[in-house]
Amino acid sequence: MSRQSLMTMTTPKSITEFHFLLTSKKATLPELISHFIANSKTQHDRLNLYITTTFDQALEKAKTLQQQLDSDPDIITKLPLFGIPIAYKDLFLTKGIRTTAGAKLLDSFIPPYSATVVDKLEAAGAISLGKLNLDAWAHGASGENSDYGPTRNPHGTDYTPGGSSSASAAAVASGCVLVSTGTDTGGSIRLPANFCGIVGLKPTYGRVSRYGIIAMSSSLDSVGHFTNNVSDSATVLSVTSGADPHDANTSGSKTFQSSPEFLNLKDITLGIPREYIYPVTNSEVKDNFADTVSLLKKAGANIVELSLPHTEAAIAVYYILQPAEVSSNLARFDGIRFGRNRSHFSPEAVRRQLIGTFTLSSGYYDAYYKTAQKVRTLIKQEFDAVFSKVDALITPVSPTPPFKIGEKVNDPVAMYLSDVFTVTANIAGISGLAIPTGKTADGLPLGIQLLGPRFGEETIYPIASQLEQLLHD
Amino acid sequence: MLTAAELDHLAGLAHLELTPDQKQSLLPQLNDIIGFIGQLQKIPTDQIDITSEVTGLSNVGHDDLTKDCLPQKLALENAIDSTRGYVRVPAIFNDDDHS
Repeated sequence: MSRQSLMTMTTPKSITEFHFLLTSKKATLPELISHFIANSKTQHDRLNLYITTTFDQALEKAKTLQQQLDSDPDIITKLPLFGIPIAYKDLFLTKGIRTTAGAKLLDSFIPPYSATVVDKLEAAGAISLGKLNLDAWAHGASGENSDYGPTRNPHGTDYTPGGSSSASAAAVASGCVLVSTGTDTGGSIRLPANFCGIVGLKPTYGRVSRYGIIAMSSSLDSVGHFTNNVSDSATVLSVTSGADPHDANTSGSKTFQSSPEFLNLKDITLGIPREYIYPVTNSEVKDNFADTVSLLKKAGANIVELSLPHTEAAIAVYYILQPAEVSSNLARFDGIRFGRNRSHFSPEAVRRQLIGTFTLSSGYYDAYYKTAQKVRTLIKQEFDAVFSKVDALITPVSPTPPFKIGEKVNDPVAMYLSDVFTVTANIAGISGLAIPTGKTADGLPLGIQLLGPRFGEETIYPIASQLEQLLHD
Repeated sequence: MLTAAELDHLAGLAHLELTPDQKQSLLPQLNDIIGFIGQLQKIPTDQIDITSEVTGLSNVGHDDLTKDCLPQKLALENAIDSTRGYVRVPAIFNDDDHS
């Protein structure tokens, strides 16, 4: 392929499209990876995506894999992510490659090992282009808490891409990679997927190993990913999921298998919890949600309205449990074994550690931390009860479309309220999939989320697939 | 309401050294957040058990067998100050501290 055609090549948007270009010999793997590297350079200048790039290593791996493909064309069927350009939220340890958690405190930290998920993705053939920007320590909903500057939304650069997996979403949405990894502790995959108009999965807690991922809140952290479509999302989960002896919470977790069986929407009941609807005052979010539900109804899905009464309490539960666990996890940053000393923590990390210390301290523990653990039980019980009546829930992801950079950054509580529809899934440990369903008049993405029971990805993926098809028709 | 003295205590517990400027801006922010999360106390929870984790798993063990682990050299690579295979840490006991 000539240089000219490389530059004007339409960026493939799916794993299928990418693999077809390879198998039909319309492009070589080094050409394709060069294309994604070129996109990455252009978009990074515009959006501030990468903290560390690994472009040279990526091209080397592309050449090696191309040789393997030349001698064994069947390799693509054996490695589901063969040659796929990927990048990691900079929370994922990558052996020998700087990992910062978006924080200057870890500015020169070089991990001596890789996260289990990184090893799995690369063994499946993925080629990493680098480490993606995020709110420092995953503390945030907009990307504005990064010590490396905020990432911008590809659909409107005055707007935030959502957070904390801010650049992970923006990099897929802007054609720099086909897959990126993220973590979702209170919505940090689903919110940026929603704000950037792509698919984002928060897997069931315990489905995917957290080993080698810098811990934020250990009972809430869920390891997921971003893709342009539902099918790719399911493919990635089939690679990342499964029991890992390094993460005891994955014990018994079976590897997710995509089901090729066709799902008839007439056999599906979707629940709409009213507590996720009445707080939405933005008419574009409201109308888009209603239109999406109509679409599903017309296709035969049964829709029921129901109630999850403790939804409103969930944000308070989250902002007690999460900072408490953060204060414990960030205690390991002693400035002795790795990283700089603790005076390098930026304001949000300091705030969260102090709140966490407060809620765990003598005299306050019962009223705050223990109470939050009890309300956690109530929230989980409500979901369990509801999933005995419906297959999945459908809700908005955010009460508003993407907000502007600077709009909420000086008001911590306003920023925390961005998570109001997402934290519940983390508190209950259930599965959640964000799907794009439209745009605002200004061209900013709108979307919904499907919430399934624990290990309910087998249900929500087929529903999402149908919805994706209906939206394209 | 969190007082300045309580904030000092928390900072000490969390091993965070705060400047006077930081303390001044943190105190009202923390009180806002504490006010917000305090609303949970209105919910009756006396008869409810706590949930500390959602998997339902307990006592996940493994056989006590030796296996490969991180080599010492790699483990020390990020240490600020290491010598003869050890990480050097600030002194815990000083010569003049016999209490």
